[in-house]
Amino acid sequence: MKKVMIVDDSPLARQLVRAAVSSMIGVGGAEFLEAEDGSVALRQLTVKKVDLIVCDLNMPVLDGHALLARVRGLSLHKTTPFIVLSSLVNDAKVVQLKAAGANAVLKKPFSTQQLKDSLRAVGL
Amino acid sequence: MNTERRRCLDRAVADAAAAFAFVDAQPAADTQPVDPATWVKIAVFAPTPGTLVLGMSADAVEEMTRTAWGAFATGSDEQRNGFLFELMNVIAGRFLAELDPQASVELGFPEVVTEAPPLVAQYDLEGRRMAVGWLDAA
Repeated sequence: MKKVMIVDDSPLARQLVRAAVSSMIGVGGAEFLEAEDGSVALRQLTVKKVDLIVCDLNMPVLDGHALLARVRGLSLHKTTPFIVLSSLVNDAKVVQLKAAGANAVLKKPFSTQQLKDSLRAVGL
Repeated sequence: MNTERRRCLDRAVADAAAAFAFVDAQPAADTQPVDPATWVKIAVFAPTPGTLVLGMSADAVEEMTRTAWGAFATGSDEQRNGFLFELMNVIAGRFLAELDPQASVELGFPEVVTEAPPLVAQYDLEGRRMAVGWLDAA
């Protein structure tokens, strides 16, 4: 079973990601861990290996960019697929995020198909 | 609101309404009255400081929240506010990206407000109403 960490301060956004991932790998094929900001996610990711991280950019306490940098510093998650979702990204931000270790960056609102394509691209 | 801002806002609202609730949002005559049950706002720090506000009628919020949550809809205030916050966030991001695709965008976090703003653009959501306004920073 795949372990998927979803980090977003919006419960609706987390639900949309859950639904998209479930529709791709099957209900029951994934265990979802959720966090409403980067600091809560980081506490979990420090001790737990996951197969995928899907993360919003604009969040309170610790934002998605800062979480990405911290996660890539953890030996557990140096290569864990990390997908960033945000309505705020432009081309320059995408370059910054990819340089920091993001595998894919999707603009909100994203379609289920766009997320599925990104999941396939990272090997899920 | 100038013509360019209105054009960018129209596109951002249409994209967000279609993506979240499969609703067609069309600009409506600004002179028609709107009585939103809930207003939310989000502060914009960059590239252009100001505040974006969003209001929707009670029936529009109810229906779009149920559509967005699908089988997991509970009808709770938490889901309604969460829907409005996420919609506000996405409209703000899209609006600012339309205005200047190369600019860095810095937003605050959505919050509920009790007073309607003075200037708003209105949209028809297949028979229901939504209003969005941009307030320049003082």
